[in-house]
Amino acid sequence: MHRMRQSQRFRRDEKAQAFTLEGITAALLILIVTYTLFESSVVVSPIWSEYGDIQLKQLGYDILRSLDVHRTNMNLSACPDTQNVTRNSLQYMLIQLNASNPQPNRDFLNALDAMLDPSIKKRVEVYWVNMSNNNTIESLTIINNTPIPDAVGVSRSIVLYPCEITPTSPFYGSVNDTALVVEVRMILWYV
Amino acid sequence: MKGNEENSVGKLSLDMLIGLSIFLFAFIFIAQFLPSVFADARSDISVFSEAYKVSVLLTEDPGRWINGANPSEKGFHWETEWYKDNISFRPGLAVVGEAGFINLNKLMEFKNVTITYCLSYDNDSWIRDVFGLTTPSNSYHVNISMLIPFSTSYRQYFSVNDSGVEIFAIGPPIPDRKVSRYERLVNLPKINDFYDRYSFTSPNPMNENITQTTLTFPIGGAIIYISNITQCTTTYWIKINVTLTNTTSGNTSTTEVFKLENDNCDPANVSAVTGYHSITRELNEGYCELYTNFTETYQESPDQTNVTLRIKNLNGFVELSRVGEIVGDRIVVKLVVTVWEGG
Repeated sequence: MHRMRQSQRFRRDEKAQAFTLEGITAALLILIVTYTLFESSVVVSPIWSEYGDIQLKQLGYDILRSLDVHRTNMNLSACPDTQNVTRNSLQYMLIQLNASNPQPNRDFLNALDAMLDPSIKKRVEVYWVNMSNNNTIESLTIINNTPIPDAVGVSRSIVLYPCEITPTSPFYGSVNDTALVVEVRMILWYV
Repeated sequence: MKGNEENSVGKLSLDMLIGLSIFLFAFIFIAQFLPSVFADARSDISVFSEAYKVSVLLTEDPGRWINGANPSEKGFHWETEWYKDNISFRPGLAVVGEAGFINLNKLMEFKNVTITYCLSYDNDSWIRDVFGLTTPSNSYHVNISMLIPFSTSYRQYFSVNDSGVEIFAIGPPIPDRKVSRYERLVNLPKINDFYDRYSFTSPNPMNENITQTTLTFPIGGAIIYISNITQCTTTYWIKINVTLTNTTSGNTSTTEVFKLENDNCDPANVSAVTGYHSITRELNEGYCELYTNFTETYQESPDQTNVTLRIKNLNGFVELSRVGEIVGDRIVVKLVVTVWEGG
């Protein structure tokens, strides 16, 4: 009777060994999967993505600076020769805007695209203060793409002469005889 | 008696031994493996910082010099002092007070220093010393190049002057392994050596004026300036054609990449025609499309590229640059700093 009980217990223990083997196999499998996962994927840390943002933001500031053909003549009564403002500049792009359909000109877009990698998308907005209407802030979206949450924003202030603001301009009526400061905001992101 | 029987089996200890072994094995493995997973990112970040540092010092700072024998003698214009006795200097390329605008004298002297100290533009040893790229724990190589804005990380086109000489390319060739690259857009003054101007006039508004030139694509920048229309009652145009030829087989292909045409002087038309027009994109994209068509049609590559300007009843000029995009009185180029770890 005692031997019988003993042999039954041995059989139970043999089954238990099978479970141990399964455990070992499972542990090894988990190890292999973890190893493969770490080896085959790129670990992107938040710090690393911020470095990408730094490059993009820097590029944005560089582009706006490069396209800003600043003028040294600050005599506002003297109207600069608009014909000699290069068409791929921020100034010309703002001067040629039409209130009924505010679109950037071809030359400006070409210059922008030439300086930006094809993998970068952009949105461009302009902001200004309407001094004839209780100094309210007005804005226009001239390149309308929807940014992603990781997008970065850059901006530059451009001064327009009163004579450059024609009746068809969206800035018309915002100022009388003074210069108008327009903020050009560009939002960039990788696609 | 029963307790003795259970103790004599001892299988639980074996299970525990195996379990503990697996746990220890896994623990040691992960402890050793995890740091190496992040080592790559850590090293990338450290190399990236070096590329950023060099690019900022070059493009936003004019540099400094000081006379070791008389420390009151110091200033920004290292380019006129670096070769004198007792002078210590750190180079920068920016115009004083104008970050992002490159001083050409500083650029030329940077190249001269490289040749003087290293005997070759491919040797970056003095740059590594002066920008602190050699540390006790790490050593980095650096390549600094000026490229046309059309360039990307996988497609590099050097800015070259009228004689075909690279404007700025310092440092050893970029290796085919992990590197960090930092790009800046900088402005160069528009000097004669950086672009070609083709003036055109139409004294007889009925005649077409045709100018042809051989070009290397992609170009850095191109603009047309139309000053005025000779006669308002006659059709006026400017048309630009690109022609590719294989001089061995004689095969040729032509496409019109730009056209501006009208036949009256309505104020809106005049204002649309006169002034500066940027045509860089039209030329480069037209060339790329034509090149693809040529190779697909003839199963061979062209070896000659001609650009034809057809102008009628208009006066002005065309400017072509292999340095960079022409914006007003400046030329915009990419300054790319590439850094990688190495002995």
